[in-house]
Amino acid sequence: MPDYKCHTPEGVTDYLPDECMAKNQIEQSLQTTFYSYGYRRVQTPVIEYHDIYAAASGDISSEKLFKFFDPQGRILALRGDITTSIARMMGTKWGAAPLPARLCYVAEAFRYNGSSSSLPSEFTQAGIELIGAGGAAADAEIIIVAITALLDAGISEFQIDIGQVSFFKGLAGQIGLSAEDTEKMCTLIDHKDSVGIAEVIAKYSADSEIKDLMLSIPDLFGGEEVLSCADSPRLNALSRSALSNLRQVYDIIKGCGLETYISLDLGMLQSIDYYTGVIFKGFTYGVGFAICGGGRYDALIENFGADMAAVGLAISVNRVLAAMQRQKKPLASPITHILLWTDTANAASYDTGQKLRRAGLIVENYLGEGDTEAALAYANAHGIGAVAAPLPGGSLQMLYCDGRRRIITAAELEGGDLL
Amino acid sequence: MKYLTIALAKGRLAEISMDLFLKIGLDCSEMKEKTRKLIFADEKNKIKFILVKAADVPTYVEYGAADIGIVGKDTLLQEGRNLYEMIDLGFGQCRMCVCGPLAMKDKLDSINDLRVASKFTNVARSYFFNEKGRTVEIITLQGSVELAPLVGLSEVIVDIVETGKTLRENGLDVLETICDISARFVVNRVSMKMERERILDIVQKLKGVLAEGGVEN
Repeated sequence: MPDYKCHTPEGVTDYLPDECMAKNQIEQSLQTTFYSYGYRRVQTPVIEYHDIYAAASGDISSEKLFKFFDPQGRILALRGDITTSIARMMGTKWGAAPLPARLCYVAEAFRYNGSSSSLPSEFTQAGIELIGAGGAAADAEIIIVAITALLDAGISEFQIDIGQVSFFKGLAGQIGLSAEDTEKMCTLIDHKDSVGIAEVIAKYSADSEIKDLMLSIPDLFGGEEVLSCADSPRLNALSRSALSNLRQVYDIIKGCGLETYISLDLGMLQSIDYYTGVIFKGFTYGVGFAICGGGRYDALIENFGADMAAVGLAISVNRVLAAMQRQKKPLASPITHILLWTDTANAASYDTGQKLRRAGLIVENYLGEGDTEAALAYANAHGIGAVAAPLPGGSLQMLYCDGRRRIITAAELEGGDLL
Repeated sequence: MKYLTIALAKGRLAEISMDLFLKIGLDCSEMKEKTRKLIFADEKNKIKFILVKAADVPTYVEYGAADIGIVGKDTLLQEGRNLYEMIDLGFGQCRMCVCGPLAMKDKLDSINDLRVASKFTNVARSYFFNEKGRTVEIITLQGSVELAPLVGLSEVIVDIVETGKTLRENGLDVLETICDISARFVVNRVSMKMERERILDIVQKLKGVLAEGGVEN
């Protein structure tokens, strides 16, 4: 049997310090934005019963989940997304606590993407859920938080594409598409495959204006003008309310002066058995996949025993990190880092180190042999900016890697204003 | 302006595509020269052309390494990538078919352990499993698929058929047609949004050329 002890399984990876630090900074930044809008962090288990995904399809369909058994033979799964877990938590544990609930998370989810794909099986999502609030104001809030969070994290060129699945559902109902054809049609529209759409439509006899609208869905994307292109007096109530919801969401975001970041796409139809209203995805340069996505899912929590409207957002931390690297965006500069060289058994060294740490520096102890020059060579090799060597009387000799020398007096050290 | 990258499937599709791009004013004449280069640029329009193996076009486009691709529907069906399929370019026409000895025609639905050899394994699987509701054994081959029924490796094959000449010369016939195939203009999902105007401009111009009769097939 081949020996895999020196390998990580397909689709998972290690993060070495620099990359881990960068990823962590993004997570911190996203979380800070979420907190600032009143979202409170929750944590759900990594392992769930497979049953919670029973109604799921698409990205979290059974084939994509990592499954195993508990000692009683029940099927377990590594969580395929966080929203389903939060829906379970809300449906079963929120009880009579007040709504709406604003919840956020930063956590890993797991999906098996097949060995031919280089998409990761383990990925970090940072997201929010606004539960117990319907309507355009809630939809818009989620998208506004998405825009703010991406800007705060350092991504400046991006676009959030907003759709509304009910527009399509209304048309499908009016044409009388069978369940099978509805599913097929979704995939075709999602791929903008107009040839395929025309083939399916041709089988049905319905209002020709509605059929034409269905045919034109792949082209219904762009700016505000999409809303008027999609409008028709022949639309049924469902499609009509979808358009008016989208109009309201657009206007709220425009009112915030953020319309440059958004566009509309009525052909965005992924996971329509999951989403019930607004749906959106965020894109940026350098990454071929969406960096964030979300939408309204008013029917999900019902599966877990409570009827709650909900809308949410998930940002892919891994893809934001990849975008920052490919767009060569500087990540926050590292905190000043120094190396503390001390004489063996210098009782004051712990004390000196603590003072420097309290002043906001990262202070690493030098464990090697030799004098301060040896320590300086070590500092250079490890990318540490300077060596600090305590002098008798409580002052500190600083040796910087660029050759500068400086004495920090005991009083300066006491004052703590060293940065 | 950022470069737009267009991935072309090496071979005849690339040649026809080049003529098409020339007609809409994109200069890829450099590719016509005999060279081993795989990447060419139209500096004026900020467009890069890359030449890749047909089966890899959808991969380049899905990952965004190329913004646009031109590739046969057969490859798209086989690779099943997540892309926008914007235009049917009309050239490279053929059919995806189930082929075998004519005697198999009536037995196709009754043989218990039907063996199907194909390069297009996903297409074959999806057709027999999903559309026909049949469990069959799929055998992956890389080429000369017509040989499989002749030497008893499989009962039938799934392959693309253009004129049917190779089939007939090997004593095989088309038993069932799965779908029609032609070249498609595909776009990466993110590029479609981030470079919407430039891409739609190319799409509109291409549609214009196609409406006027396109290019020689």
